[in-house]
Amino acid sequence: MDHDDKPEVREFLIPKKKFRVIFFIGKGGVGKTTSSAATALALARMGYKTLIVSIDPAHNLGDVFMKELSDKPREIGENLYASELDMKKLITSYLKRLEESMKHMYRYLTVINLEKYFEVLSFSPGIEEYATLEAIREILNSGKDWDVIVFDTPPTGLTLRVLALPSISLIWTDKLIELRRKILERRRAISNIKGKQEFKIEGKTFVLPTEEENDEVMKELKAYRKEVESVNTMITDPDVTSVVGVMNPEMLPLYETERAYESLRKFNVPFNLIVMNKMMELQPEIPELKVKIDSQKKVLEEVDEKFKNVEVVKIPFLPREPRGFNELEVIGKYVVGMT
Amino acid sequence: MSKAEKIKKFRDFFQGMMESFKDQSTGYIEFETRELENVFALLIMGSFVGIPSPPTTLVIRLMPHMVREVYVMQARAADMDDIFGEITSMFDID
Repeated sequence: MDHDDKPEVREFLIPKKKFRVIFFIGKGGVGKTTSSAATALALARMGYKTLIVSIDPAHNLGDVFMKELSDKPREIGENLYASELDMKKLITSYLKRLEESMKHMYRYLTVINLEKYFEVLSFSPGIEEYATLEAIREILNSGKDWDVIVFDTPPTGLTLRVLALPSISLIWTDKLIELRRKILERRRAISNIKGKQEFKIEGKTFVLPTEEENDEVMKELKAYRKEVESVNTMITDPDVTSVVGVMNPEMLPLYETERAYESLRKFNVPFNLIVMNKMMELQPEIPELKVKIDSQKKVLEEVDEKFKNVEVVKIPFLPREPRGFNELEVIGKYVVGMT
Repeated sequence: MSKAEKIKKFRDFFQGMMESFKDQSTGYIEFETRELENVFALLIMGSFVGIPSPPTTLVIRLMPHMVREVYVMQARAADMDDIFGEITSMFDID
């Protein structure tokens, strides 16, 4: 579907409930940052209080706006706020926090010799994704401060894993809750016959909890489930979240966008729009570049065929990279659908 | 032996018998509970033994409350060579 001539604003980019969340995903170098910056600017100009956050460790959001950015949102124009999250710092502080809480809470750490386990844990796979998800969750929790939150994300792989995390965490938590229930049921049965069950370790005596309300493990499980579910509800709600795939009219970005489309669909994250960047249009035709134009045409045909219900915006190849507000606004209007 | 002492002994004997009955009746459930607690701890500490593990954030939040489970897991590992002993004694095989 090509709706370039459609004058109305794309509904999935403007707030419908309290606020709107837009993720820009895509292969490295296809123009995610430029497209997201342009979209954020266009939405801000429409009067929506917009926050754009870069969670890509290789930041260049500041370069596109030509402003210095930090991890605190900075007002860079009317209704427009921007920040660059320092992912490295974030991960380090996430690990530090974990380490601190462990040192505080594991009095029995030395008893059963768990230090080594925690050393391993900080290198455990996925720690980066969890830290990123925590960061996104924090920003989403401040959602009421904004009308629109735009995320400029790292290249597809990491982003997809992050967006899939809430669903996967829910599966884990549900399984663990189920297992915990079985344990508590059995403990209840035993204490019905034999009375309160005690457990002694290092001279301290604990009463083994038998009810869900007294069991700290169950309480944590349920609290965690609630938190994850709130994120999951947000990112799977088409009235809140939209994912925009950015690509170039070439085969490799096409394959990657396709994979992203498939896996987001599996996790019910709404994928609404493809921004086709750097479209070549040559008048008159130059024979040396005919191959390029032909392959571009082929990619466009495939896109039309493979992405049903996804709109496509074509951005022409520009003589130079757009930087600064005026140039960005032109592109932003394309994406939002005002031109 | 006075009458009161006799009664006390008699009562103790019955109490002991009741305890033993109770122990026998809950033996299986206790064994099962320990197994489940062991599995729970193993799952939470999966990354330690190389099995897929739950979200790290969740693991960290659960760990402080898992003294009992981790203890059971450790005991289980230590008694690994005598697991048949435990099962046979449960079924009264000498």
